[in-house]
Amino acid sequence: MVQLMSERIGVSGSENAALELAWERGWTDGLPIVTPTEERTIAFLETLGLEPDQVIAQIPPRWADATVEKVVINSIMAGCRPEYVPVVIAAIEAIADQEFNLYGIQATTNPVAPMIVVNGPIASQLGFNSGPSALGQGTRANATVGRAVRLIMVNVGGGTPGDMDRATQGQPAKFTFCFAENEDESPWEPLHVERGFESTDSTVSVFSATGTTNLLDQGSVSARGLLMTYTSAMSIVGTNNVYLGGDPLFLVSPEHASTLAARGLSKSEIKKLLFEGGRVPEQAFSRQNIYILKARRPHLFEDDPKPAFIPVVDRPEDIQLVVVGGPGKHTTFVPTFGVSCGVTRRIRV
Amino acid sequence: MEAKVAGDKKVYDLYLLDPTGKGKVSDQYLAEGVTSLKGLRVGILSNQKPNADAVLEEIERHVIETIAPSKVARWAKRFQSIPAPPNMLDEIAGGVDIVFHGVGD
Repeated sequence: MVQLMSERIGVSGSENAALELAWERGWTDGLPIVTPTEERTIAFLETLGLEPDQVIAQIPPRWADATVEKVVINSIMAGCRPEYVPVVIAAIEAIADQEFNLYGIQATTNPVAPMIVVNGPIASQLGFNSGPSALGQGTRANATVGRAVRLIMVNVGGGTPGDMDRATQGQPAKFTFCFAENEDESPWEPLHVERGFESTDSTVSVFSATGTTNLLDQGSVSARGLLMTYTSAMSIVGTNNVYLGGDPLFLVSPEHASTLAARGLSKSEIKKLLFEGGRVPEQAFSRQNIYILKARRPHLFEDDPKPAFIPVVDRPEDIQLVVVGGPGKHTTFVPTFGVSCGVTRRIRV
Repeated sequence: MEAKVAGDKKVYDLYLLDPTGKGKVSDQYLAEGVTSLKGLRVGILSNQKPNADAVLEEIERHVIETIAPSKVARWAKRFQSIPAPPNMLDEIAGGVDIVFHGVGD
């Protein structure tokens, strides 16, 4: 008999009353939720064979325990199927890793959302979208897994907008930002293999996304041409990366990936080229922002107190490349928080 | 549908489970305030926010002018959104009597 620890809250009337209660108590992301009844929660736990009181992680800033029970409740609310929960659990483990700096992400004025990348066999088994519209709406796994992670950050961690979540503007990805890498159409090793896992492992990787920019390049027929577009996109004054370093990403469509790899360029070679080209003229910064830059990245001014160009990242390997999407010549540039590192965790089923 | 009452216990039509986590309550107390400014050891901890140093430098100047501390020691976090590491906090706690720290922008 499954023993649940969460408080049972009764409502009178139809399920609409439960939805209204969830809204009143700030338990949602603004959208309607699936009512987390005892019956649904027990059914999920029995299907998964997990102990409800197992603690997955403590979630800041409240540092409350994200138990399996709480993860399941919030996953139900998000609209997950039971089989998605191990993916949610792995994502929670990943965001709770110290390297990800969830505490900073939850509280910052910056618009940071965990971007969740699913790799390995589980992606197709559970119906994650890695192709057309993978970053958009329409796929249950993509939409609900990312949403469950956000609901856990709010409900368990206390990251409520206007309260501990001090985001000045926020961004749409704070609803959900989850997709699978298009491994089948990638000319390179997938992200999780790059990060030390076997291709047959199923993993989630989380990154601290601060927005997305469509890079339309329908003209370039060579890697050189595409890289001009990519370096131009990353070489701007306003990203967190230029002030703090970190790991910005290029989410590359299969067609762009094919162009980049046509002459045999590897991921690491492309990253070196992006690192060399991803630089902002020192004169593009206001004097006040140069003062801030010197405080935050002093190593850039050690050899030359007035360098002509500021590199966006500290090392080529900091730049991440993930293949995703369907037909079309687009890449999405994703700058990141800067004081956060991407983390990858194995999904345990 | 109205809630039913069974004995002393109100029975509702639908129950949902609380999705929230509860923070842990720990015993934390305010440090005892200093009782004398004589020979005070002062710490300055910058949170690395823009202009934090400008404010803290002015505070330091004012403190030196007004209370003549026996020592002024400075620390700086690596980044504003990462907590000060435990060893730095231990150094501060063991090395000074009061600390000025910038919080927020």
